[in-house]
Amino acid sequence: MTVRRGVGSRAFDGVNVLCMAAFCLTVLYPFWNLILVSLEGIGEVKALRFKFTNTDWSASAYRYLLFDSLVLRSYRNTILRTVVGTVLGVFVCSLAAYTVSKRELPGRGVLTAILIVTLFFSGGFIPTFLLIRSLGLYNTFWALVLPGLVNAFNVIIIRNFFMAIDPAVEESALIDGATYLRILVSIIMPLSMPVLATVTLWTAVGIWNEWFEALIFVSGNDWIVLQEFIRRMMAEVFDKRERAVVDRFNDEFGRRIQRDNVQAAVIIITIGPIVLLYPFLQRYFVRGIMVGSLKA
Amino acid sequence: MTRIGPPPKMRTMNKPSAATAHGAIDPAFRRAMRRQTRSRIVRMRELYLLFLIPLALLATFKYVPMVGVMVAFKDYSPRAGILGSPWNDFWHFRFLFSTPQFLELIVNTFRISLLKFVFGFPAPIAFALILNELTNRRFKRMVQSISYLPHFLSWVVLGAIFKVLFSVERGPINAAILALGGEPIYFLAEPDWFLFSVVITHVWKSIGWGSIIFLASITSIDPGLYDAADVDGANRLQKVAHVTLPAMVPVITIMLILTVQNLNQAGFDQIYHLYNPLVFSVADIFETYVYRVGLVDRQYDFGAAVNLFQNVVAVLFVLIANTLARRYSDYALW
Repeated sequence: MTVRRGVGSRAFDGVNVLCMAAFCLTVLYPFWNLILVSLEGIGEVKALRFKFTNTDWSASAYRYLLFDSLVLRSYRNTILRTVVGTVLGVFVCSLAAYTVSKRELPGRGVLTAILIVTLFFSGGFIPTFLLIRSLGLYNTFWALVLPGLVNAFNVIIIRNFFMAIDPAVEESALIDGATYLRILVSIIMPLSMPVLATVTLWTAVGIWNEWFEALIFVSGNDWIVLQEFIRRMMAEVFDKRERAVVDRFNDEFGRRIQRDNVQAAVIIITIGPIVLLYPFLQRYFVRGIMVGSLKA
Repeated sequence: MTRIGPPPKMRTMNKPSAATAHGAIDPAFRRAMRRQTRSRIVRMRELYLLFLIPLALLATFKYVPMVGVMVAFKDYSPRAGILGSPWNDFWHFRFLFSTPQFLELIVNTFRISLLKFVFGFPAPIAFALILNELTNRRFKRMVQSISYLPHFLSWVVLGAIFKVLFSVERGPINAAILALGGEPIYFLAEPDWFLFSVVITHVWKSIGWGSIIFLASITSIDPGLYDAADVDGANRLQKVAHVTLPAMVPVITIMLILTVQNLNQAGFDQIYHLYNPLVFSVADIFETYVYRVGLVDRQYDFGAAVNLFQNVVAVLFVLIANTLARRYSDYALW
């Protein structure tokens, strides 16, 4: 069928494209600005202007990041927390999901209710904080990982997928004498790769970005994570320490970086992994909500 | 070897009939069903064991704090712990309701939340509609991908980014304003501009991701409807108004219900990372107040009380939203 587009219609198309392009620029420009600031060189004029490009480039700020041990520690902690939290979290959620996916399991309704209640009700972060303290988990690695392991939302999504798997596969394995755990790990989970991939991604990004629990469950410098480092940076808690370290760096390497260069560089390395992996993994995220919402 | 699978006898046994002549449940049937259930519990006991780990985690980190909420009704002393501290006869709540700040918190929370709703709810819908009109598929997909990006970044990062962008000393936005002959605007330091910044950044962050579900509903519209509209001589705008939008009503309604339920949350993450004492008069919401007073100032019991109050209000919102939805539309959450 031929589509006759009148002048008004085509004008709208043109304006639409322009508006969408402008919108894309508003999304991308802040990051470009940040990249520019992080790569400013000594000769860069620091004035109030719209930055399109730098006059003087230098990677000193990134060199500084390798010099500041607190940044390195934050990065290490964040990676550790994300990997452990995601692997354990997805596995634990799968355990729960597998159990409640069995329609003939007595008490299944009760178990599911126990899960769903946590979606709606919560004690709040203050009782949780007091609990962490009384358990002796305050300022430990596990305080960053354990509280968020079981996520009822993820359990439901995984459960729905498990329920859609042909029961014949399990039955034949059961007849062959396999244990449920074995079935889960060797049969069900490999079959559920799509949903597990999506949940893994969601969980990983969520943990990477998680800042509030990292703020209240730990303190000091042992278990600082990247988000908390940035937060302290922006809250200007770091002023004296930061200035001292930056000065030391500048003296030692003959550079002249300033605070805003460091800030920009830290933000770039924090969002770097997400932004770089994002184009490749994006469709899993999108597909994920569709699967999750349709099936639920 | 553990017996796995239904016992062979059970498969061939006739199911006992449920009703007796009087219509009551035959006790023999009940016994048989209970036997069947018990054997299933034994047979599937490993599954219960598997559930034990998640259950332990849930019990510890979700349910114990629910009980711990009782600290909101006590005078907490760290030595006595939550259980040992004395009950204080709702003192925290009476205190909360009597401070002038309580009113300010309510006003701030709802003002921000409503502003974000009024601008932030239609925006993804409009975005989806406009996006749908793009003809070049590759451009459309590129725009979509770019639009989702802010959704994946935390407000820690975005707060830092916007503090730089909106800065009066180095920010490109103020640079552009100056270049156009205006005065620099203190986006995050002046109360009115702060509200503007909150809404704008919220829309910026959520418009892309929020449009996904609306776009999905648009693509599921039967093309035959558009052809019929063509036959009736509809132009593009009329097609949108009479075909697209009506077809989106179910999705819009459900999203509306889900959003309205959260109207008492003004968005702690965003506010916390954008606000500062200069704008507390408009920016201090319940959650930021709870954080400052309850955690930083270590008044754990009072903070828990305020938090509890807010959660109770949230539950009320959910119930009201759902009752209204059930009465006035075909769609509800349950």
